Amino acid sequence: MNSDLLQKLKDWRRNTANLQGIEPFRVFANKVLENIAELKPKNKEELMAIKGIRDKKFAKYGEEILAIVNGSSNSAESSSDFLDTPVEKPFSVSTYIDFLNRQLANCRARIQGEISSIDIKDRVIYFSLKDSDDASVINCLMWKRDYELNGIEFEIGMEVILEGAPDIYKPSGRLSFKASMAELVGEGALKKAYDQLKKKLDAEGLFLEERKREIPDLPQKIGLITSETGAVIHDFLTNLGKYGFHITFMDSRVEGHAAVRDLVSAIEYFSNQSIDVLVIIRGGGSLESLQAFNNETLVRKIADFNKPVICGIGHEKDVPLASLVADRMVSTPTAVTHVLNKSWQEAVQQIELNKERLFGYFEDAISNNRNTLDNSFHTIEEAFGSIFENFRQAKESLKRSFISLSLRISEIKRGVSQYPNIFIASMVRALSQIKQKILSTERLMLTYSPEKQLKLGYSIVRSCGAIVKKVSQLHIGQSVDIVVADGSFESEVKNIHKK
Amino acid sequence: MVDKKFNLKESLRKLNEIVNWFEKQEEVDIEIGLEKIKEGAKLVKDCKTRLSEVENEFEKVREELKEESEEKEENW
Repeated sequence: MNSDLLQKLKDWRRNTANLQGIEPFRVFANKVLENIAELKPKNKEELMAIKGIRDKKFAKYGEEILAIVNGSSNSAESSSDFLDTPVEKPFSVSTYIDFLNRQLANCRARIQGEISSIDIKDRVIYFSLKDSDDASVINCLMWKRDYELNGIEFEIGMEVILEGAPDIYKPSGRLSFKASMAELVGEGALKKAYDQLKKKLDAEGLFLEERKREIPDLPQKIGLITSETGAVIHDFLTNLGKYGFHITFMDSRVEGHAAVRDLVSAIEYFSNQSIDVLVIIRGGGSLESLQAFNNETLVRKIADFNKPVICGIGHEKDVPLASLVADRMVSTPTAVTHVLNKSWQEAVQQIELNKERLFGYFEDAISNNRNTLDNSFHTIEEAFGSIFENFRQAKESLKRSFISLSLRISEIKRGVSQYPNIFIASMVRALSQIKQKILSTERLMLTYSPEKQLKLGYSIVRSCGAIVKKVSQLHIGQSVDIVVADGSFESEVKNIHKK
Repeated sequence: MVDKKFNLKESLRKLNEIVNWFEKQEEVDIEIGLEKIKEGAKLVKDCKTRLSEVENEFEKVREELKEESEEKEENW
């Protein structure tokens, strides 16, 4: 154990206890100091790990303890020296108040009570905070600037938690708790404040869709506001695609009402930085832990910010007003990375797609040209071919004519060769016909032969060589020759009888 | 390494233009098309190279601001 350190811690405890008018063990028990001296905590986590040091104690003394352990405790050491050194000369009132105020600055704390009086002046708000149990009262003041940033309108009877440090006002010697921050106590009060502010901002049109700006495509410079500790920033950085983002990071508290100041100053910082988009992220929490994001000043800062703002704040039932007013609201830090990655991923796909389309088009163009070429060649080929085809056809038809001609010739030949037979046959036929005719004529001649008639008794009368067939050929006294079968005789016409 | 001045957004726009050019042509002039495709291929390559070489940069600025705001508080 570092006894030197332990001694320093004990000295500090004595001073602190004196200043606060309490017993030293109320500050820290011996055991706790011994543990501190042994473990030499370097930061809040290590200090908080020591038994007997909780949030309240840390808020009150944490910084001082760490300063002593880390050997840079100027104020604590100097103050103890100040008191321990035998004082020869008395303090002037002013110097002593300065001394006290230096000490009191170390008594930073969070105190809870009920507002029992309010006096609002130009630059400062004077009020008093009353203990709910025993009616103890402490005078308080808050700078107007802090009051407005804080966004809570004080009312008498309102239960609040103040954060600040006491201070003695030299002209009056009056001690006041200088609050830098005030927060409402209890879900009910918070919810009420949330609803009121939401209604007010909504009426102003701050949440309107048309106010919202587009998140730019391919954002590169990103302003990031969140807490340095915790998983959120890690998740964010892990899920953010590697697209050459340039992230400018502002660490800010994000828990409870105390975060407002950090958040606002971070936003102010980014307002004159060259960024494409501002990102505010925080993991999920209750209405109470998300108080800062329902702060009017913060909400207005976001609304007036000169670049698009994306809020990724996890929340329960009530959407933080900061998210409502942001240009883009998602419910987790990881979802913010999706928003940021989106246009980049699309760009990557677009490149691939364009590549395919581009080469596709060109290949089409080439193959179209090739087709045209092929077609032309084919056409030419066909044209040439048709010339030969005509020849071929002419040749064919010529060949066909030759064949038909030769057929015709052989036909004629055949015909010619048949003629003799035909002639002979006709001759034979004609001859036989003639023969027949002759025979039949002969038979007829035989039938009609005058000799035959004469034999039958008929006779032929001739006169002057002609055969007499009519009486008109005769005249009386005319001599006629009459032929009978076995000879002729002469006769004279004696009478003529005409019928 | 792609030129420092290389602008991805601009290159994507050019690439799109080339694709649109091809889209609009009823009959692609092969000579011009070849020029375009050469340019397009280079753009695709450059874009991909640019995308493959990027890493996120991270810069923390809290401290700077703290000092600044402390100065301010002093002045109150």
